[in-house]
Amino acid sequence: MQRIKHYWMFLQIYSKQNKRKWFTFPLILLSPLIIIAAILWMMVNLLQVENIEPIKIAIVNQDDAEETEMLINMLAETEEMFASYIAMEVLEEAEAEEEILANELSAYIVFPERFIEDLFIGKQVTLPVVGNVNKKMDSMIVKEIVDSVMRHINTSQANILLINRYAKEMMEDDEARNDYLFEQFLSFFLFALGKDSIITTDEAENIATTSLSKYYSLSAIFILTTVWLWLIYLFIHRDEAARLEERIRLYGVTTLQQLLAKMTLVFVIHSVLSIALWIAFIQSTKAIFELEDYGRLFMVFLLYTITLLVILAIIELITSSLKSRLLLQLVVIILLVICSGAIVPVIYFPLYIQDKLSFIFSYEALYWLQEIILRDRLFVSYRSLIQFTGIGLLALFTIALIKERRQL
Amino acid sequence: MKNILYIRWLHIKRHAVSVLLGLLLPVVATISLVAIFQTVKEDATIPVAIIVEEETQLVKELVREIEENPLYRTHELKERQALNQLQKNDLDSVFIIKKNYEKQVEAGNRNRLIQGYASDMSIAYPSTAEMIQAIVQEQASRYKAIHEITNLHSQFNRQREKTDEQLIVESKQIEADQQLLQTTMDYAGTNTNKSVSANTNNPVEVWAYLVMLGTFFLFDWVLKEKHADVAVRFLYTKQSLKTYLLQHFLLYTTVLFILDVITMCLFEWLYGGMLSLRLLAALLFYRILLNSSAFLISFVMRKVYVYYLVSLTITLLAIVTSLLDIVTASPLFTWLHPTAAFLQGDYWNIWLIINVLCIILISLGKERDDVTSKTIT
Repeated sequence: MQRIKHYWMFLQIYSKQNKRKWFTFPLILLSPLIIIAAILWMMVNLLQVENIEPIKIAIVNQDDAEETEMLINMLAETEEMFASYIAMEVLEEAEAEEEILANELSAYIVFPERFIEDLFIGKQVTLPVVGNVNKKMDSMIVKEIVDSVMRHINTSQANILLINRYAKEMMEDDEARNDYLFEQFLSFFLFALGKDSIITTDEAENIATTSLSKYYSLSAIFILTTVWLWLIYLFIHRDEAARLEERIRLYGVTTLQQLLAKMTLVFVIHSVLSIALWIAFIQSTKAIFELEDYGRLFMVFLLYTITLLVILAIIELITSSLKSRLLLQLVVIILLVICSGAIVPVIYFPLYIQDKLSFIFSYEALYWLQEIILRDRLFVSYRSLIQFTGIGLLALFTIALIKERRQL
Repeated sequence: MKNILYIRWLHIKRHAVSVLLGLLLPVVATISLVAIFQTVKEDATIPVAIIVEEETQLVKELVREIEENPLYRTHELKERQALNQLQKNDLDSVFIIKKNYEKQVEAGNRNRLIQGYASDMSIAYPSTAEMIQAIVQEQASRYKAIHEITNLHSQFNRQREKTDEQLIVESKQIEADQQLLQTTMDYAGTNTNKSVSANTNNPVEVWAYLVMLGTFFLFDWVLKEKHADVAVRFLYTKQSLKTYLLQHFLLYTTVLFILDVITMCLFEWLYGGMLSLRLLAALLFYRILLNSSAFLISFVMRKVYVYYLVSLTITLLAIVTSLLDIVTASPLFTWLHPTAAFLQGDYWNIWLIINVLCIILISLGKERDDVTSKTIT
């Protein structure tokens, strides 16, 4: 009875003390929302820039051979193939450099002197790509494309050298053979550029359950609520002088009671806010969502919240300084979010990490949330989540008890 | 000087672990983060399903080459099963190698040989498709070459001596012997320093943010010592509290800069290819920026807890806004973002100027906390 009284009293103290700070509270809750929105906005911007504005590149020809010129003309013609995202023009090097400095070009490619000749006799040729520092993304994309085209030219070149072996046996006239070879080169080059017809792509469309925006909104809400919990936890903080702490302890109040009071308050505030958020999310995205579905959703979510809260509390217990506590909590939150698969889907993780993921409760929680919301599953196995919560609470009580003993 | 060092020693002795952590954490964390990131990046795999409708030589070769690529984890499944897994997002993409693949390739026809399936979650589909196309292209162009050689022979009315298989072996041989074309990447109008930041998992960049947090956490001494009970006693000494704090600020800056230089040498030894005089000069400016910011914020704060939270917020904001560099790519960014100047090998930014001005103002400010002036007023 005494214990519950203490717990109750501290619950009131915490809420009273923090009432004074209420006006900063909305700001604290909004900050992660703003950051997530800002990151999304930047991502969308980034992707759209690529889609709408074609990347402007220039070709600088230093080789005066006729063949190179023909090759470049052909490149300029095939431009239509990637016209949607690349615009090409032929320039002098000085001009190209100027345009890059004026931030009009993203990159230029130099065909060096004796390019074709060296290529035909089988000598190594280096093709410099000069990028624009202010358009690093574009420059990297250009480099990727050039690399891929060059890989194809490499293969074709090997075949041309093979043809050359036999042509030598038959064609006496060097001039005629060179012409023939160049013709072959162009034909192989075109052949390589047309490679996109090999694979026909289909979107596996009948997936009514997954849509990209829904998937990422779910992940975003998951991250948001996780960060909220930590922020509220940090917000509900009581600075007490060491002397007062001592006196409180002399009254027979344990650290555990104070901690539990704090956790309860954090839990209540957080639950109200995030349940409202979940309901808003579900209402705006799903047509049919029964009361039972809500029940499953909140059950999974609340178990997750409690476990996370317990971990934050354990960190508070085991760290001696404020600095290390904050640092450790930050690291744990980041790790839990990454391992849950909310940022990068877990299928891209290395196998040895994927095998261990079932030991991480944030992964388990997000998995079931996805099953309920995205895949309309009617069954949830709470076993492992309950296990995590149970183990967490047990660890919390044990550590608190041990710490209490030491202090006495 | 001796006094300053002695006092600092007395202070640090009490929080030895915490100070040591603040000094070493950025370096240790950078090295381990870079190492972890590297291994995870190398071991990360893309799950794809390859479904074969015929078991011919060429198809087997194609599948083997895809499997040999360490970036992909291939599953051989039934079509329906694979598509089902794709829908559940357990696979990145599904490729079906169609019937008559070998016949078509041999005939020089390479349209629609493979059917690819992607969901809207397939991040890696384009690069996977590209990779498979490259392999198919290789196979197809070998047959094209054989075709041409046959043509050549018939043009000159000769009989071809070698079989297709022999020619393919020959072609592979030539390709293995020669890497004819190479590309290089440079940025226009820049010195080598600028291209440092082109590399995204640059250890210096990681370190720049960690050391920011580390510095903020180290500088809680300003706050603690300013509001300590003994601070009142400065009134009875020759030195004012402000001079004391500023002196120790300079001491911290010197020592930390020396440590930074050692760190850079360590990074140079570990990763190589970045140490230059310009980097060290930029580092000095960055160090002054960090220390002055931490000092000023700590100077005006009242509660340690709030100070730590502000430090964390500033660091996290700096990390998040660093993304803006990619989006906007404006020169204004170098001026506004705390780490941009350092990472690009530049010196000044707006914060440094503000900070230096503030510190000059503080040090020039009237010394009021003298016991005589206090007693008179």
